[in-house]
Amino acid sequence: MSTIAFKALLLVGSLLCINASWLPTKAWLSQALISYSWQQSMAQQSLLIQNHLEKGRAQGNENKVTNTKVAIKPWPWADTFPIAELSFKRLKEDIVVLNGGDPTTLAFSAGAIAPFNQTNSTKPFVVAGHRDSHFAFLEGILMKDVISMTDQHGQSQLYQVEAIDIVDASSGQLPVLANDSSLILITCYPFNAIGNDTNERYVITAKLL
Amino acid sequence: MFNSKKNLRLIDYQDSYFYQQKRKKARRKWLKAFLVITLFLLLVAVIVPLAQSQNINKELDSAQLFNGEKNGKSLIHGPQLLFNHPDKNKRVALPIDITADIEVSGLMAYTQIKQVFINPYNLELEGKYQFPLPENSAIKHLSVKVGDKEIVGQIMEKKAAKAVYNKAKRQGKKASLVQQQRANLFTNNIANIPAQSTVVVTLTFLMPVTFFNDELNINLPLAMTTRYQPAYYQQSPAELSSENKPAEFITLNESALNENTSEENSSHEYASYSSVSNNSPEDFPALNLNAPNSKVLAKSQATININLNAGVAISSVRSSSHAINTKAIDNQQSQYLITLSKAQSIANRNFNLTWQLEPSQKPQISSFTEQVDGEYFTLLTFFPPRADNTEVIARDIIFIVDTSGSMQGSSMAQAKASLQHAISRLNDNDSFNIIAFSDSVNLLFSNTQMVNRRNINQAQQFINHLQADGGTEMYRPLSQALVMAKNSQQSSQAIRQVVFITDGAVANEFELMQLLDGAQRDFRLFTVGIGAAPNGYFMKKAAQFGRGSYVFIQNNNDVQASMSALMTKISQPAVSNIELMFDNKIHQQVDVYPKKITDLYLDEPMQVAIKSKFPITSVQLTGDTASQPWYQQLIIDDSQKSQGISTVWARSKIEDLLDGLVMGADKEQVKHQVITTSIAHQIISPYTSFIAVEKQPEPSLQTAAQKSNMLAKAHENLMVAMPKTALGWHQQFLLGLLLMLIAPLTLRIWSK
Repeated sequence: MSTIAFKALLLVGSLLCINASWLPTKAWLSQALISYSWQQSMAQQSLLIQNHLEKGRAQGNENKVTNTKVAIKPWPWADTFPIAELSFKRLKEDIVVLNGGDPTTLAFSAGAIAPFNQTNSTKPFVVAGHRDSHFAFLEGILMKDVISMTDQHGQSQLYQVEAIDIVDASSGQLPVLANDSSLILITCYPFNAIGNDTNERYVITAKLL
Repeated sequence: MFNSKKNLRLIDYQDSYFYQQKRKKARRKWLKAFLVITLFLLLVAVIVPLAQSQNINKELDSAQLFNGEKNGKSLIHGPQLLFNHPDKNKRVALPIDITADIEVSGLMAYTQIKQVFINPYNLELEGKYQFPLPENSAIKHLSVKVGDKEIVGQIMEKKAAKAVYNKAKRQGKKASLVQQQRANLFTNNIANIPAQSTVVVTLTFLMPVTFFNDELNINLPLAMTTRYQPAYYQQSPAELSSENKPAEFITLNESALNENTSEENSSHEYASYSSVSNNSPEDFPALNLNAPNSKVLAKSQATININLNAGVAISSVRSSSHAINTKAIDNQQSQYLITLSKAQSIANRNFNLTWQLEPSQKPQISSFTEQVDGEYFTLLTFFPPRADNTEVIARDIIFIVDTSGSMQGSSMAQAKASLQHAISRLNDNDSFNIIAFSDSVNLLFSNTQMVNRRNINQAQQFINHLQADGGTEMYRPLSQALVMAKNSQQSSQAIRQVVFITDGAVANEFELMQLLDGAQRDFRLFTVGIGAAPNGYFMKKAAQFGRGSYVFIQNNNDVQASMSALMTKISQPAVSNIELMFDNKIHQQVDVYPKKITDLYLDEPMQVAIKSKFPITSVQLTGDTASQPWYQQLIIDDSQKSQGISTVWARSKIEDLLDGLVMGADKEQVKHQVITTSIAHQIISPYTSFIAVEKQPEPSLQTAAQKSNMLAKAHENLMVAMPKTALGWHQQFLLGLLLMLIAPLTLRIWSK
């Protein structure tokens, strides 16, 4: 009797542990695939631009190069694709951002939320990520930190952290100044809390340098 | 006999029973100690961060509170001026006099509000003017008079505005850009307000008339400021912004005001009450916490004149906030002049006006005109008939449901619930089909089928078996829905309606828009946004291209209500296929917005703005009602002049131009057109800024010492969804660990 209870408890416990650690493991594993597909799409993009330029020279128009978009999925059945890379110089962290803010995408990496997922526009770029996996390092971010963002065309832009706010998220919506090109990072707050039902968000606003 | 000669030796066997027991006990002790310690450590590891985070929260709360007080970030319900007075209690000033002129034309209210503030102190101060714009309003003009100088706000191209701003900054003028905490809060810094002087701010803006339950309504924010307690401030921003909470405070203010009427009449000073003593403390427990700033009461005098012109007969006019006088101007009872009954009324709450139209069995259309710079603008407002006895039309309806990986979890559950509910609301004369897609397409039937029990059962099973997985390839299902054959039993009159349920996570928006734009068949597209962060922009635009509408379902509780409303609405269009026809002569030069006129639905009036080279005298309108074709000849009465129509037109035009970008229009060309329209009609766009600069009446007066400047900026504000950003794996992991530790413990306990 006792051994049965012992075994059952041990089994349930280890299953729970494995199940729980599967989430961060998945997050970590997918990063490798995502960064690989990101490099691929960057390479293809530069190839594409070269081709376009050559063609453009032949035909005399060099427009519309920037409109082409290469979306390479990190794995064939994925519902998203990498759109930008953020690197935090001081924290020595890099992360490839996926397109979309749905739970599935966020399980794999930080995601840019539509309609604020256009990299080179006058609108802000809004990225959300999990505080206990991809965006855990945001706890260490400080004012005036410099973040560099590389878009699909290989162009880099520098942003500087201008504000860090903790906002109430019970309404589910965050007002954003739409005609302002800034970078906004969202993650849950507090960082060390247990559970995932917090109503607070850590919102980092970085201005274009 | 049994005399043994052997030495009796006590041999202490190491593995004797006694020693086994002894060692076991010792081990048990260690095990127990070990277990207790690990449990304790675990508990500490769990509790300490929790407690810490809560502590931090508390600290932050108080920090936020102080910041809020400093920057005046608290909730604002009316115009106010914030001084940089050293004494915290003397910072907020409310207008002493408000004059509002509102011109209502159909669904549009052109508002000019003049507020007089005074600086009662013997100090030269700087101020920050704040005005909470009603939702969806457009700022047209701003003028601020401080002493003898006047500052005028205008729309400028972004670059030009920035240049002006930088120039002002270089000249040593105190300039600061506006920070916006809440959507639609208009703010403007005013420097150098002399001691004992007045500041007159005139703001002109266009605000929409809301329509709900057959009633039209406008809401004008007047002076009513409550500096909020943290309890309310923290609770729910959504609730606070919905103006429900402040209602309680209104009554509070009133009683306080009545108490102090004598004092009020004697002077135009401002008072800030430290607390309101005669109110029960239970109602406002936190009120005394930040007592010095807790209450600033409005003692403004307000004059409001409204020229209400609905364009069609009005049955009743009332105001839930103020006592009003109404006077009919014309004999059709479509136009009223409304004033406050006590000409100088106290503006301690928002002004609210509600009117009802005379019920009609037919759609009614009103027209207004405006002439700006030799161009003629005409606004047509369509009012739907009363919902009482409308006929339901037959529809050929196709549901498209997104089953891609991004829909996993609660989104899919919501989508399924929505679909089930929608199907249960179909009528017998409807035909339907369901298309589920991820990176492949899954059809319920090959073409649409009539609604009957068998088909419905089949559909319900189909829905139950849907699973979210794979990519989002929207092009194929959408194009299939557009060309799908109609059931042979369905009448040819039936309208093809496409209901698209998705989170809109797409990469090829452009292609999809082109598909919708180029579709040959007549159809209506209704998009239903689902999930934590749907791509609302795409869905709104797609619905616009498909002449339908967009609904957003935020959580599972809303599914039923939202889907019912949508299904009811689309089953009863009052007039569909609306087309405008003009006289041949002017037909060539009309510019109509929106370009695709949507159907007229019950409970949803709509407006169409037209620009023309020549005045339009008549329009012929055609369309279809449920039973017969609809035709109306509208004679446009050019006596119905009103202001702001060109703004409505320009707004739609800018929106249309920006939509062109999605369709691949040339960026520079669009930008140029948008800027031209924006400046010509003084309406804000993504390429222009609203900036206030000082007007110099006589240039000779400008001296270096006379430094004053102010800047205002109105921003376009958008909301972004905040998804859940915690996996919460720590919790599960710790629980598992705990169970594994408890396991040996149980073994011990049981074995005992």
